[in-house]
Amino acid sequence: MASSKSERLVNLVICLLASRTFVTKDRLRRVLEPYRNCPSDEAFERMFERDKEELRELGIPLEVGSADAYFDDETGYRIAPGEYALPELSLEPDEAQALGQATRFWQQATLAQAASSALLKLKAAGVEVGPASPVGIEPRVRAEAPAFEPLLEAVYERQVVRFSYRRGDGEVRSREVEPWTIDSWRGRWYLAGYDLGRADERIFRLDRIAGPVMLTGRAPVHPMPDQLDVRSRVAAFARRPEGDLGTATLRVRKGTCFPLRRGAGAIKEGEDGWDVLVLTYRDGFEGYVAEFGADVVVLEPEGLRDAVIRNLRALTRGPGGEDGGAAVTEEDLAQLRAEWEAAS
Amino acid sequence: MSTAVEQVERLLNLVPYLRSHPGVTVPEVADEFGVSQKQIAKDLNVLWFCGTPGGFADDLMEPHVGEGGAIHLDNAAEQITRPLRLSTREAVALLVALRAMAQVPGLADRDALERALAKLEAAVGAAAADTAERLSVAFEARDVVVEAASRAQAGGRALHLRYYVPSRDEVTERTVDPIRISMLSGRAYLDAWCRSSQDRRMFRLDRVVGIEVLDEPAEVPEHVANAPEAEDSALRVDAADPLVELELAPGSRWVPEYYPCESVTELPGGRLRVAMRAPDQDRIRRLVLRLGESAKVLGPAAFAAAVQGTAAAALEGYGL
Repeated sequence: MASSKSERLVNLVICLLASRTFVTKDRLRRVLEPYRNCPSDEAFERMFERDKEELRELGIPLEVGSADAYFDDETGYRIAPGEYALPELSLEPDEAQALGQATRFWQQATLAQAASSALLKLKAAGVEVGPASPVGIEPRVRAEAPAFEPLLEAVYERQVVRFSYRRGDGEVRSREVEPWTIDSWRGRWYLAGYDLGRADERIFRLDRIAGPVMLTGRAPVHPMPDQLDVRSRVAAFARRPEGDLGTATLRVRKGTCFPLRRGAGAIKEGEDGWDVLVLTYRDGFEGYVAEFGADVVVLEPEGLRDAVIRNLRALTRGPGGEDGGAAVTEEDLAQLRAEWEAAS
Repeated sequence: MSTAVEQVERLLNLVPYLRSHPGVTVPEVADEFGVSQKQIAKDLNVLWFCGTPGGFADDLMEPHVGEGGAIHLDNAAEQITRPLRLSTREAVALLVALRAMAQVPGLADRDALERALAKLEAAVGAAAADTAERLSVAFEARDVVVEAASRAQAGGRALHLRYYVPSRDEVTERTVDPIRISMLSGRAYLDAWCRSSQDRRMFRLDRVVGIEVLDEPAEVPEHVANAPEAEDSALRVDAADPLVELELAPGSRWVPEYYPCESVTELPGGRLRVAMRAPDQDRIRRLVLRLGESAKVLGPAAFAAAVQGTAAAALEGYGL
């Protein structure tokens, strides 16, 4: 049953491609045997409507037009060969190799599937795409956030979406957005678009979209700004530094705190096993300094020095409180202190 | 998609494929199209009934299967000897991938990527190319490091690395034999055999402090070269590693977004309780030191003690 239908559809495609003019339904019914064998007009109409639908589902560009120059009501169908066929693509071996790499780029299911069906068409067209990647670059791109797939669909279909979004501070609200772009920076995905509720453009992190993304079926009405502007705003958002700059002087133990040294504007080598670094810093830097434990001491400014001390003090406070916590014995602490003293 | 529609899609590819690969065998085609050999046989049977309309036997296609399953398609319908153009989704998947790779600084084959991109863009048409502009992937990598790693990899040469290990806050020196460069989760890694540790490792290129291409040839042990790629050791988690439990204040809600957690529980007031496992607890200890008062260690006791001990030792530097 399935194969007789496949046979009919392939023959319909060939027939519509073969004709230079629009082919009327009547003619199709005369020419194609399965249509000819339909017991009634209704049965033929039903079958033909379904077939047209399925050709469109396959992405076959079915054109509808007037089949007769004198009678407008004679509707006919055709497929323009120029619209149907993949254009000639002549690739150098290294270009074909590059395309081969592109087909292995995605790990996200929908895009991986689209890439491999594209590859098959290219191969069918005679493009030789090697299986191995001698260039030795293997990009793997994941898109694990469940919001990715429906948002991609919304971008393809140009539809307004609705979803719940959790901000960094924990507030969750429903948003209606006209999607513009989906971009990945440093492995994290962002949606840029026009937020209808806020009446302004907004950037969202896909991993903060809570719950399902609904496609509303409505088309966006606000014009999208220039592509490159949107992308640069997403980039700025993704790598945005927070807070103000300041200059700090730190004393760091030799051979340690490498990332701090790398960011330093000046390093003064000391004789006592410690060096002095001068660097610029932003809000929240105290946490980063605290990470390096006893290998770093803030000399100035005082505000940063106090912040680091506060940060560390919070951690030396004993466990307990109304929420309970792990019981750390005095012996544990004594032993650890001894270890630290021995190390320093 | 119904099975019939899937079959039509395959048949419209199969006809040009058989024309551009005369003599290809049934098992090869089955493999390429990702279906069973039986399915390919069924597909070929359908083609016997397809062709230019006219109803004469001469008008139909003749897919003959000969010795060893070799297929020869005679009398192929001229109209479908080119495959269907790429759909928007297919075009987007390839264009976005090519563009993303062409943007990686220092790659040896950027030029080929850009040429392939230009040709593909011309072939898919403006509408698909326009939709592809709406999706992008950016990798971050320092060009000098990627360039040296990519040159050594392409030329089969060993590399000397100065590599920073954050959990130990230490710059290590090692000689490695490159296998490939991988772009994972937005970062560039060098997948290589590490001679010092006699093991295959993934090196994050943004942690490479110094890189030098050596004259000596790369020698990747054979059993390693053929194995699937190594994992980033920092991401490799063993169920035997102890589970650390933390309670996070609302200001530290970002933690589970950056650190893999085994469980995340919402607590009143926007706080979170998270459980995380790591092969070396130094990583988590450093995280807790960074969080300060917005994190509380719930257990295990030895870990809590290690955090307290580190903080106490650090305070001594301030004379406290």
